[in-house]
Amino acid sequence: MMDAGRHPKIKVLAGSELKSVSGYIGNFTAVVRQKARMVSSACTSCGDCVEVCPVSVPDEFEEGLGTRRAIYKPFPQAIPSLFLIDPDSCLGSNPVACGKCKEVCGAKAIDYAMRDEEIVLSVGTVVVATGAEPWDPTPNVEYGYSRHLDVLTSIEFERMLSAGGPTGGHIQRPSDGKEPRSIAYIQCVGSRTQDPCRGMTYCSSFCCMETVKTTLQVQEHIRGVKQTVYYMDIRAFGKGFEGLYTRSRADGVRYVHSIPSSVTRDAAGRLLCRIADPDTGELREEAHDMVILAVGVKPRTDSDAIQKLFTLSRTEDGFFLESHPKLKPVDTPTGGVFLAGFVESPKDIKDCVTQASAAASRASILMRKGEVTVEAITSSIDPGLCTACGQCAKVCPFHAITVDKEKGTATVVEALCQGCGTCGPECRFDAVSLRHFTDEQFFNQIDAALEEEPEKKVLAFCCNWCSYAGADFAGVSRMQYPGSVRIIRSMCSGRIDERFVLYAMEKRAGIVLVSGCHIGDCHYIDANKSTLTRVEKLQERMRAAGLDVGRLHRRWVSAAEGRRWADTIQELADRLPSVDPAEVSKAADWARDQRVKYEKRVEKHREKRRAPKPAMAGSGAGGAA
Amino acid sequence: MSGLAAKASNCMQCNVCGAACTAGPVNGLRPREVVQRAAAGDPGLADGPEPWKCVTCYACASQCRAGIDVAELFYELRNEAARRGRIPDAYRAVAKQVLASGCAFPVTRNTARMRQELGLPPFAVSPRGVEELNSLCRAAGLPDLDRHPEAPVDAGAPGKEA
Amino acid sequence: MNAPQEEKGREPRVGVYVCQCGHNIGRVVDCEAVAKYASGLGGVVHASTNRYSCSEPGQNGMVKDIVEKKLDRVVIAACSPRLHEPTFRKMLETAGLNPYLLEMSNIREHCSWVHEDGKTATAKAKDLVHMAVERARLLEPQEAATVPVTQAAMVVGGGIAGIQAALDLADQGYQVYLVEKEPSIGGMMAKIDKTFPTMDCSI
Repeated sequence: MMDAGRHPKIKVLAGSELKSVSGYIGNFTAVVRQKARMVSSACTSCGDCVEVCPVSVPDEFEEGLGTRRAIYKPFPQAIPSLFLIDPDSCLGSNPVACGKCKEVCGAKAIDYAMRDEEIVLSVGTVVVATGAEPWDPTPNVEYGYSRHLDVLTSIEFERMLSAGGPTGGHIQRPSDGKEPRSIAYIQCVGSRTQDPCRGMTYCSSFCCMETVKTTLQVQEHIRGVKQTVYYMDIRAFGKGFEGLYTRSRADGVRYVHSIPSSVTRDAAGRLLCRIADPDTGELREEAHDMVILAVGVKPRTDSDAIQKLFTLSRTEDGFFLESHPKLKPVDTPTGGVFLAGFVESPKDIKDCVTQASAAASRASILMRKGEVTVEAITSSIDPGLCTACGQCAKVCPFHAITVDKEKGTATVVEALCQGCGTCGPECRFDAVSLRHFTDEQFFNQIDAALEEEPEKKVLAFCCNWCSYAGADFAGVSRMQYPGSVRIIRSMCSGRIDERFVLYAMEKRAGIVLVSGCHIGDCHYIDANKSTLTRVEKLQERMRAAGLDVGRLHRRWVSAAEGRRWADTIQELADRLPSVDPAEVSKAADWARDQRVKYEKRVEKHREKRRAPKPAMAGSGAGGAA
Repeated sequence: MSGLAAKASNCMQCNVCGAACTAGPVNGLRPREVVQRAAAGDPGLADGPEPWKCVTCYACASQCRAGIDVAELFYELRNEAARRGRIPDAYRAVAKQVLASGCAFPVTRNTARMRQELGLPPFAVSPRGVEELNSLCRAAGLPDLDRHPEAPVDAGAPGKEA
Repeated sequence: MNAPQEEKGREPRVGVYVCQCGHNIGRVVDCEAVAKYASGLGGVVHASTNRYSCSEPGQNGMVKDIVEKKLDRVVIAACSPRLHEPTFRKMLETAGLNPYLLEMSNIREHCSWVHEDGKTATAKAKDLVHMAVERARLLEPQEAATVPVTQAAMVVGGGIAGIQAALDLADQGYQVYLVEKEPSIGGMMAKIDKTFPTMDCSI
């Protein structure tokens, strides 16, 4: 910590929040708002101001176990090592009311008029290490955290153990200040539960070892103390952890494989943990002087803001999604942005440090090279056809399209574009195209696939990352399914234009399948939401035209769901014989009408554009290849 | 039963159900053991006294970390026992009472007097109501209450601590 | 490396390679028949089978063909592009072609491994190759652009992970901005008293 504060190459911007981030890999511009400390760098850390401040509020750093003044230093070793004024509790913004600290400050460092400052940073890479929040056990009412003073969280207990903490390192019951003779720990509070009120479904992974470590510390603090750990599993997974756990047991700490159902207080002020005996199942209450709740962690409440700022994805549990769980564990879908620490998932200190070094290394690889190659498969917009309606920009998951209403055109920032192609299908005037996955290429593939016996075929559009990979997995696992399916690959299911589906109908495909990643798993953040909307819309239109919607399907298949893929194809192939040729003809006619209408509209638009503004033709930079 | 057995296999054996159980101290019920046996697919589970020891207070279900509805598991076990004709006499008597009168508890002379004192009309379920109740129970698959098991069913009477 | 502009409008010269992948494809799919079928498709000037396309001799043979027969689009019917597309793109570069002029047709994971019946599998493989050829005919060379990288990093969050990342980057000489919401860096870590295994103070 000290090293970071003193390093000539590190500028610490504490009390600062990210306001906005723009740009792309190698070229980010971040706006940071630094809160006014109201104490300038002239501060000598003498502490005279604290002596005279009349305000006393709970100290956040001490988890509320101690108090601080309105002018304070967060903790003695804080970096930056400056005092600051908490504007919410300070009386001094009106000097008539107080102003005592300003009077005593010899360095004249206090300035109530100091204002928040905005700082603009230009950086090539970003490491997101925003951490997680400890679980607040108030909703776990059975443990009486808010009823009994002597029930503490593990974090609060850490402060109590610290020599620099609110009790000077003496363990004492908050209710009467006495040294406890018996301490109980309840594990997995806020972790490993299916009840969202009681916590998170995952294992927070550090709490077991934190408790084990704490029991050994307490053993040194209080001679002859009795300690009991109530647990469901002790996860001593890391290097040397099992040894530490064994030592704790050998030192006489009692480990009981049973989670208490409640903590109550008896007349004598002792805390009763109600448990079922792990061996006999017999019910009993065990009395302790203090109960420590080993709380897990949850994703930070400001994760949404961070997610938006850097266009990141999150896993189901709310932590940020890495590019690849094994091979790119610190990269994110946004180039140049890396993850370190709890923000990716809960872990222990060593793993945090390892991951941070990995993220730093990944970032420095980019910077060392000095330049970076960006995705070749990107979208482009033909300015001659674009009307600046902005539909494409609306669906772009990477905010890579900028719309200039005045110039009347939209442009793709190629360094931001990841090539999902979900913008294309939004365009009504055929102005958007995706390199390497052009409309014509798709049409050609559909033609070839449906040249012979189209009614006997299932034409499947699959995204590269999930459903195509799921079909690969079915192959690797040798799962047998009917040979009537023909797969057309795109990078993202968001690329699948309704015109492709209509063309397949026109070419008399028996059944059409549009397949992609499950919602939330999309490799282009949420481009597959557009897929969902588009297929549903098209189905609605088919229904309105009196057509059989059973010939158009949308299924999500993940890369691991080979079975699901094989079953889906089996199910659709089984439907093929019942597809009525008359229905196929009717749909083909309808689809042809739709195509002709579209082509007429685009042709008309083209002519209109061509006629009055011949000057536009020259400004085709970045236009369609 | 298979659905709940599958769910029961999510059990992490944390024992919080046992610590929450209100019947356990009285009749020795060990919900964790029952969940474990259900997960293992123990076919004899429905024949034993355990299904009938539960008082269905749902304390276990409300605290279960693994999201297993333990109390529902007990209902499932009872249904299975009933299908096998293994209904304890006390439960059989209550069921017969319900089918005959429409009430789980008989309307005694004492009840009638209290109603009269409170100015309430005399109470009885109408014959049509009783008939409807009977046909509903038949449709829901209530087994023949006169088919008795060969061995008497142990319902785990109070004080029967293991 | 770029397909020159004057090539536009000229009918592309497609080369098709049907990989047997040892027995993986060859046991089920009649690869010779597929290659013969491919040679009749529009734009195809060369079609042959390969025992193992990804092997050294397999690649060398294709490179030789590309150069000698002036192929400018390559279709490889083999395994999943998710497996070997990068391999064959590199091969195209070796042969002097833009790597994006490659199209793979998945006749292993999506065909020979999932359809036991040889007749069905061969018919499907023909269709898949046909589709790949039709797509390949329209492939264009693509160039990945490069952008400069600013020599500075921002670390968001000043807990243990953020501090470590900042130090590692700064020690390499990069300017680092460590942005922390709270008035001091340190995060959760600073609150912890002693840490395993050294039992030293966390600050």
